[in-house]
Amino acid sequence: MTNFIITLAGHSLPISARYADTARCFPAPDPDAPLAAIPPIALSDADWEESLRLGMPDNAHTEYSTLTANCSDALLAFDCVILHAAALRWQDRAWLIVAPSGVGKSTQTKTLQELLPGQVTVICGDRPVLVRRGSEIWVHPSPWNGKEDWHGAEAAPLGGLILLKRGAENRLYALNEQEAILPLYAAFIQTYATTETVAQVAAFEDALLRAVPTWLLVSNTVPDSTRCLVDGIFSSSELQGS
Amino acid sequence: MKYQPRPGIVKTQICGRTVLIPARQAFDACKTVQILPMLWAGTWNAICKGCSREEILTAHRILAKNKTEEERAAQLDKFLQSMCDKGFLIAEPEETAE
Repeated sequence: MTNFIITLAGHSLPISARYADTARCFPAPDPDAPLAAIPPIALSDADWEESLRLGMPDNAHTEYSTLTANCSDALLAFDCVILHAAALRWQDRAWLIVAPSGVGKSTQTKTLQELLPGQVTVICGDRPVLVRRGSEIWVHPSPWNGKEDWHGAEAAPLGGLILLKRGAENRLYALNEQEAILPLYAAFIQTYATTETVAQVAAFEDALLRAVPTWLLVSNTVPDSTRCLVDGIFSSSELQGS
Repeated sequence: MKYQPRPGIVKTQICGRTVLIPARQAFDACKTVQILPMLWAGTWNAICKGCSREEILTAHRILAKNKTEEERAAQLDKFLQSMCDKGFLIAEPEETAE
Protein backbone atom coordinates (compact mmCIF):
# COMPACT_ATOMS: atom_id res chain seq x y z
CA MET A 1 0.00 0.00 0.00
CA THR A 2 1.10 3.57 -0.70
CA ASN A 3 0.24 6.29 1.81
CA PHE A 4 -0.21 9.94 0.84
CA ILE A 5 -2.24 13.05 1.71
CA ILE A 6 -4.84 14.88 -0.36
CA THR A 7 -6.56 18.18 0.45
CA LEU A 8 -10.29 18.65 -0.10
CA ALA A 9 -12.08 21.89 0.86
CA GLY A 10 -9.35 22.79 3.34
CA HIS A 11 -9.15 19.36 5.00
CA SER A 12 -6.09 17.18 4.47
CA LEU A 13 -7.08 13.52 4.39
CA PRO A 14 -4.78 10.49 4.66
CA ILE A 15 -5.12 7.99 1.81
CA SER A 16 -3.85 4.43 1.62
CA ALA A 17 -3.75 3.25 -2.00
CA ARG A 18 -3.16 -0.08 -3.73
CA TYR A 19 -1.23 1.55 -6.57
CA ALA A 20 1.75 3.88 -6.11
CA ASP A 21 0.62 5.75 -9.24
CA THR A 22 -2.72 6.63 -7.66
CA ALA A 23 -1.02 9.47 -5.74
CA ARG A 24 -0.02 11.03 -9.09
CA CYS A 25 -3.71 11.47 -10.00
CA PHE A 26 -4.09 14.03 -7.18
CA PRO A 27 -2.58 17.51 -6.85
CA ALA A 28 -0.06 18.16 -4.08
CA PRO A 29 -1.73 18.66 -0.69
CA ASP A 30 -2.09 22.13 0.83
CA PRO A 31 0.63 22.30 3.54
CA ASP A 32 -1.50 24.77 5.52
CA ALA A 33 -4.58 22.54 5.68
CA PRO A 34 -4.93 20.65 8.98
CA LEU A 35 -4.55 16.90 8.73
CA ALA A 36 -7.81 15.19 9.69
CA ALA A 37 -7.45 12.82 12.64
CA ILE A 38 -9.05 9.89 10.85
CA PRO A 39 -7.79 6.45 9.79
CA PRO A 40 -6.36 6.37 6.24
CA ILE A 41 -9.08 6.25 3.58
CA ALA A 42 -8.77 3.07 1.54
CA LEU A 43 -10.91 1.00 -0.78
CA SER A 44 -12.23 -2.19 0.74
CA ASP A 45 -11.90 -5.42 -1.21
CA ALA A 46 -15.64 -5.22 -1.87
CA ASP A 47 -15.31 -1.67 -3.29
CA TRP A 48 -12.50 -2.77 -5.55
CA GLU A 49 -14.23 -5.93 -6.76
CA GLU A 50 -17.38 -3.93 -7.53
CA SER A 51 -15.37 -1.48 -9.69
CA LEU A 52 -13.80 -4.35 -11.63
CA ARG A 53 -17.20 -6.05 -11.97
CA LEU A 54 -18.49 -2.85 -13.59
CA GLY A 55 -15.80 -3.23 -16.24
CA MET A 56 -13.33 -0.62 -14.98
CA PRO A 57 -9.68 -1.48 -15.66
CA ASP A 58 -7.46 -2.75 -12.86
CA ASN A 59 -5.26 0.35 -12.58
CA ALA A 60 -4.43 3.51 -10.62
CA HIS A 61 -6.97 5.67 -12.49
CA THR A 62 -9.79 3.35 -11.43
CA GLU A 63 -8.59 3.59 -7.84
CA TYR A 64 -8.45 7.42 -8.05
CA SER A 65 -12.00 7.48 -9.41
CA THR A 66 -13.45 4.92 -7.00
CA LEU A 67 -11.90 6.65 -3.98
CA THR A 68 -14.33 9.57 -4.47
CA ALA A 69 -17.09 7.79 -2.56
CA ASN A 70 -14.81 6.86 0.35
CA CYS A 71 -13.52 10.45 0.53
CA SER A 72 -17.08 11.79 0.45
CA ASP A 73 -18.04 9.51 3.36
CA ALA A 74 -14.99 10.72 5.33
CA LEU A 75 -15.82 14.38 4.61
CA LEU A 76 -19.28 14.03 6.19
CA ALA A 77 -17.60 14.37 9.61
CA PHE A 78 -16.59 17.91 8.56
CA ASP A 79 -20.02 18.93 7.17
CA CYS A 80 -18.82 18.35 3.62
CA VAL A 81 -19.90 15.97 0.87
CA ILE A 82 -19.10 15.34 -2.80
CA LEU A 83 -21.82 15.76 -5.45
CA HIS A 84 -21.88 14.52 -9.05
CA ALA A 85 -22.39 17.84 -10.84
CA ALA A 86 -20.71 20.48 -12.95
CA ALA A 87 -19.92 23.47 -10.70
CA LEU A 88 -19.84 26.87 -12.40
CA ARG A 89 -19.07 30.30 -11.08
CA TRP A 90 -21.09 33.33 -12.24
CA GLN A 91 -21.51 36.66 -10.44
CA ASP A 92 -19.43 35.47 -7.45
CA ARG A 93 -21.86 32.59 -6.84
CA ALA A 94 -21.59 28.90 -7.59
CA TRP A 95 -24.20 27.15 -9.75
CA LEU A 96 -24.50 23.38 -9.94
CA ILE A 97 -25.72 21.52 -13.02
CA VAL A 98 -26.79 18.10 -11.75
CA ALA A 99 -27.41 15.09 -14.00
CA PRO A 100 -26.25 11.51 -14.50
CA SER A 101 -23.26 10.95 -16.80
CA GLY A 102 -23.99 11.49 -20.48
CA VAL A 103 -27.03 13.76 -20.10
CA GLY A 104 -25.19 16.95 -21.07
CA LYS A 105 -23.59 18.73 -18.10
CA SER A 106 -20.43 19.44 -20.10
CA THR A 107 -22.38 20.56 -23.18
CA GLN A 108 -24.45 23.00 -21.10
CA THR A 109 -21.29 24.29 -19.41
CA LYS A 110 -19.49 24.87 -22.71
CA THR A 111 -22.55 26.51 -24.30
CA LEU A 112 -23.09 28.79 -21.29
CA GLN A 113 -19.51 29.96 -21.62
CA GLU A 114 -20.12 30.70 -25.30
CA LEU A 115 -23.38 32.57 -24.65
CA LEU A 116 -21.92 34.55 -21.73
CA PRO A 117 -18.31 35.12 -22.81
CA GLY A 118 -15.96 35.91 -19.94
CA GLN A 119 -18.70 35.61 -17.30
CA VAL A 120 -18.82 31.89 -16.50
CA THR A 121 -15.86 29.91 -15.14
CA VAL A 122 -15.68 26.30 -13.96
CA ILE A 123 -15.01 25.46 -10.31
CA CYS A 124 -15.11 21.71 -10.93
CA GLY A 125 -16.19 19.80 -14.02
CA ASP A 126 -17.55 16.65 -12.41
CA ARG A 127 -17.52 16.14 -8.62
CA PRO A 128 -17.20 19.31 -6.52
CA VAL A 129 -17.02 19.31 -2.73
CA LEU A 130 -19.96 21.00 -1.00
CA VAL A 131 -19.40 22.51 2.44
CA ARG A 132 -22.12 23.52 4.89
CA ARG A 133 -21.32 26.77 6.72
CA GLY A 134 -24.27 27.81 8.85
CA SER A 135 -27.22 28.22 6.50
CA GLU A 136 -24.95 28.64 3.47
CA ILE A 137 -23.49 25.98 1.19
CA TRP A 138 -20.08 26.60 -0.37
CA VAL A 139 -18.84 24.86 -3.48
CA HIS A 140 -15.15 23.91 -3.63
CA PRO A 141 -12.96 22.43 -6.36
CA SER A 142 -11.86 18.80 -6.20
CA PRO A 143 -9.38 16.57 -8.03
CA TRP A 144 -12.28 14.90 -9.88
CA ASN A 145 -12.87 17.17 -12.88
CA GLY A 146 -14.32 14.81 -15.48
CA LYS A 147 -13.05 13.85 -18.89
CA GLU A 148 -12.57 17.49 -19.98
CA ASP A 149 -10.56 18.23 -16.81
CA TRP A 150 -12.35 21.59 -16.43
CA HIS A 151 -11.43 23.39 -13.21
CA GLY A 152 -9.70 26.51 -11.99
CA ALA A 153 -12.26 28.88 -10.49
CA GLU A 154 -12.16 29.50 -6.74
CA ALA A 155 -14.72 28.25 -4.23
CA ALA A 156 -17.94 30.28 -3.99
CA PRO A 157 -21.20 30.27 -2.04
CA LEU A 158 -23.92 28.35 -3.84
CA GLY A 159 -26.50 30.40 -5.75
CA GLY A 160 -28.72 27.64 -7.11
CA LEU A 161 -29.17 24.09 -8.33
CA ILE A 162 -30.11 23.15 -11.89
CA LEU A 163 -31.33 19.58 -12.38
CA LEU A 164 -30.80 18.67 -16.03
CA LYS A 165 -32.70 16.06 -17.99
CA ARG A 166 -33.29 15.31 -21.64
CA GLY A 167 -36.81 15.73 -22.99
CA ALA A 168 -38.98 16.71 -25.91
CA GLU A 169 -38.87 20.44 -25.16
CA ASN A 170 -36.47 23.15 -24.09
CA ARG A 171 -37.82 24.62 -20.88
CA LEU A 172 -36.77 25.76 -17.42
CA TYR A 173 -39.07 24.99 -14.48
CA ALA A 174 -38.78 26.25 -10.91
CA LEU A 175 -38.99 23.24 -8.58
CA ASN A 176 -40.15 23.13 -5.00
CA GLU A 177 -37.93 21.38 -2.46
CA GLN A 178 -39.97 18.18 -2.44
CA GLU A 179 -39.85 17.77 -6.21
CA ALA A 180 -36.06 17.83 -6.13
CA ILE A 181 -35.53 15.26 -3.35
CA LEU A 182 -35.25 12.07 -5.43
CA PRO A 183 -33.18 13.28 -8.42
CA LEU A 184 -30.81 15.20 -6.16
CA TYR A 185 -30.26 12.36 -3.68
CA ALA A 186 -29.02 10.13 -6.50
CA ALA A 187 -26.28 12.66 -7.29
CA PHE A 188 -24.56 12.48 -3.90
CA ILE A 189 -21.35 10.47 -4.07
CA GLN A 190 -21.22 7.95 -1.21
CA THR A 191 -20.44 4.31 -0.50
CA TYR A 192 -23.81 3.60 1.19
CA ALA A 193 -21.72 1.44 3.55
CA THR A 194 -23.53 2.35 6.78
CA THR A 195 -26.96 3.59 7.78
CA GLU A 196 -25.23 6.46 9.64
CA THR A 197 -23.54 7.91 6.53
CA VAL A 198 -26.71 7.44 4.47
CA ALA A 199 -28.62 9.47 7.10
CA GLN A 200 -25.89 12.14 7.14
CA VAL A 201 -26.13 12.54 3.36
CA ALA A 202 -29.90 12.92 3.69
CA ALA A 203 -29.40 15.65 6.33
CA PHE A 204 -26.98 17.43 3.99
CA GLU A 205 -29.52 17.27 1.17
CA ASP A 206 -32.14 18.76 3.47
CA ALA A 207 -29.82 21.70 4.23
CA LEU A 208 -28.90 22.10 0.55
CA LEU A 209 -32.50 22.22 -0.69
CA ARG A 210 -33.46 24.71 2.02
CA ALA A 211 -30.47 26.95 1.24
CA VAL A 212 -30.94 27.73 -2.47
CA PRO A 213 -33.56 27.65 -5.25
CA THR A 214 -33.76 24.64 -7.56
CA TRP A 215 -34.71 24.49 -11.22
CA LEU A 216 -35.33 21.69 -13.69
CA LEU A 217 -33.89 22.28 -17.16
CA VAL A 218 -35.46 20.02 -19.79
CA SER A 219 -33.16 19.98 -22.78
CA ASN A 220 -34.01 18.85 -26.27
CA THR A 221 -31.55 20.88 -28.30
CA VAL A 222 -28.52 23.00 -27.52
CA PRO A 223 -28.12 26.02 -27.57
CA ASP A 224 -31.91 26.53 -27.28
CA SER A 225 -32.10 24.88 -23.84
CA THR A 226 -29.03 26.80 -22.66
CA ARG A 227 -30.77 30.04 -23.68
CA CYS A 228 -33.56 29.08 -21.25
CA LEU A 229 -30.90 29.05 -18.51
CA VAL A 230 -29.54 32.41 -19.58
CA ASP A 231 -33.00 33.99 -19.79
CA GLY A 232 -34.31 32.38 -16.59
CA ILE A 233 -31.31 32.53 -14.25
CA PHE A 234 -28.15 34.05 -15.63
CA SER A 235 -29.67 37.37 -16.64
CA SER A 236 -31.88 37.84 -13.60
CA SER A 237 -31.33 41.36 -12.29
CA GLU A 238 -32.27 40.38 -8.72
CA LEU A 239 -29.39 37.91 -8.64
CA GLN A 240 -26.83 40.30 -10.04
CA GLY A 241 -24.61 41.73 -7.37
CA SER A 242 -25.87 39.22 -4.78
CA MET B 1 -48.43 -11.61 8.82
CA LYS B 2 -45.95 -9.52 10.75
CA TYR B 3 -43.94 -6.85 8.98
CA GLN B 4 -40.63 -5.21 9.69
CA PRO B 5 -38.36 -2.82 7.78
CA ARG B 6 -35.53 -4.61 6.00
CA PRO B 7 -32.21 -4.17 7.88
CA GLY B 8 -30.27 -1.34 6.26
CA ILE B 9 -33.34 0.75 5.36
CA VAL B 10 -32.96 4.30 6.70
CA LYS B 11 -36.09 6.33 7.47
CA THR B 12 -35.33 10.03 7.52
CA GLN B 13 -36.82 13.46 6.86
CA ILE B 14 -35.82 15.66 3.92
CA CYS B 15 -37.60 19.02 3.59
CA GLY B 16 -40.52 17.80 5.66
CA ARG B 17 -41.05 14.59 3.70
CA THR B 18 -40.43 11.11 5.07
CA VAL B 19 -37.91 9.31 2.86
CA LEU B 20 -36.77 5.68 2.90
CA ILE B 21 -33.21 5.10 1.69
CA PRO B 22 -31.41 1.75 1.44
CA ALA B 23 -27.86 1.44 2.75
CA ARG B 24 -25.57 -1.15 1.16
CA GLN B 25 -26.74 -3.82 3.60
CA ALA B 26 -30.17 -3.74 1.88
CA PHE B 27 -28.95 -3.47 -1.72
CA ASP B 28 -29.59 -7.10 -2.67
CA ALA B 29 -33.31 -6.53 -2.21
CA CYS B 30 -33.73 -2.77 -2.52
CA LYS B 31 -31.91 -0.08 -4.47
CA THR B 32 -34.50 2.68 -4.82
CA VAL B 33 -35.20 5.74 -2.70
CA GLN B 34 -38.86 6.24 -1.78
CA ILE B 35 -40.77 9.26 -0.53
CA LEU B 36 -43.60 8.12 1.75
CA PRO B 37 -46.90 10.00 1.40
CA MET B 38 -47.80 11.66 4.72
CA LEU B 39 -50.57 9.12 5.42
CA TRP B 40 -48.15 6.22 5.21
CA ALA B 41 -45.38 7.94 7.17
CA GLY B 42 -47.50 7.52 10.32
CA THR B 43 -48.33 3.93 9.45
CA TRP B 44 -44.62 3.22 8.91
CA ASN B 45 -44.00 4.04 12.58
CA ALA B 46 -46.36 1.21 13.58
CA ILE B 47 -44.55 -1.12 11.18
CA CYS B 48 -41.19 -0.20 12.71
CA LYS B 49 -42.48 -1.28 16.13
CA GLY B 50 -42.91 -4.80 14.76
CA CYS B 51 -46.70 -4.63 14.87
CA SER B 52 -48.91 -7.28 13.31
CA ARG B 53 -51.15 -6.47 10.32
CA GLU B 54 -54.11 -6.03 12.69
CA GLU B 55 -52.16 -3.61 14.89
CA ILE B 56 -50.96 -1.70 11.83
CA LEU B 57 -54.56 -1.55 10.61
CA THR B 58 -55.58 -0.04 13.96
CA ALA B 59 -52.93 2.67 13.57
CA HIS B 60 -54.00 3.21 9.98
CA ARG B 61 -57.65 3.51 11.09
CA ILE B 62 -56.73 6.59 13.12
CA LEU B 63 -54.88 8.14 10.19
CA ALA B 64 -57.31 7.30 7.39
CA LYS B 65 -60.54 8.40 9.03
CA ASN B 66 -62.50 9.17 5.89
CA LYS B 67 -62.44 5.59 4.53
CA THR B 68 -64.65 2.63 5.25
CA GLU B 69 -63.15 -0.31 7.13
CA GLU B 70 -62.99 -2.35 3.92
CA GLU B 71 -61.35 0.47 1.99
CA ARG B 72 -58.78 0.99 4.74
CA ALA B 73 -57.90 -2.70 4.87
CA ALA B 74 -57.55 -2.91 1.08
CA GLN B 75 -55.48 0.27 1.01
CA LEU B 76 -53.19 -1.06 3.74
CA ASP B 77 -52.72 -4.48 2.13
CA LYS B 78 -51.84 -2.83 -1.19
CA PHE B 79 -49.29 -0.60 0.55
CA LEU B 80 -47.71 -3.46 2.51
CA GLN B 81 -47.48 -5.64 -0.61
CA SER B 82 -45.97 -2.79 -2.63
CA MET B 83 -43.36 -2.08 0.06
CA CYS B 84 -42.49 -5.80 0.27
CA ASP B 85 -42.16 -5.96 -3.54
CA LYS B 86 -39.81 -2.95 -3.54
CA GLY B 87 -37.71 -4.55 -0.79
CA PHE B 88 -38.35 -2.01 1.99
CA LEU B 89 -40.35 -4.45 4.13
CA ILE B 90 -40.00 -8.07 5.15
CA ALA B 91 -43.18 -10.05 5.80
CA GLU B 92 -43.16 -13.01 8.17
CA PRO B 93 -45.98 -15.33 9.15
CA GLU B 94 -47.21 -14.68 12.68
CA GLU B 95 -46.55 -17.36 15.26
CA THR B 96 -49.82 -18.93 16.32
CA ALA B 97 -50.44 -19.83 19.97
CA GLU B 98 -51.21 -23.57 20.11
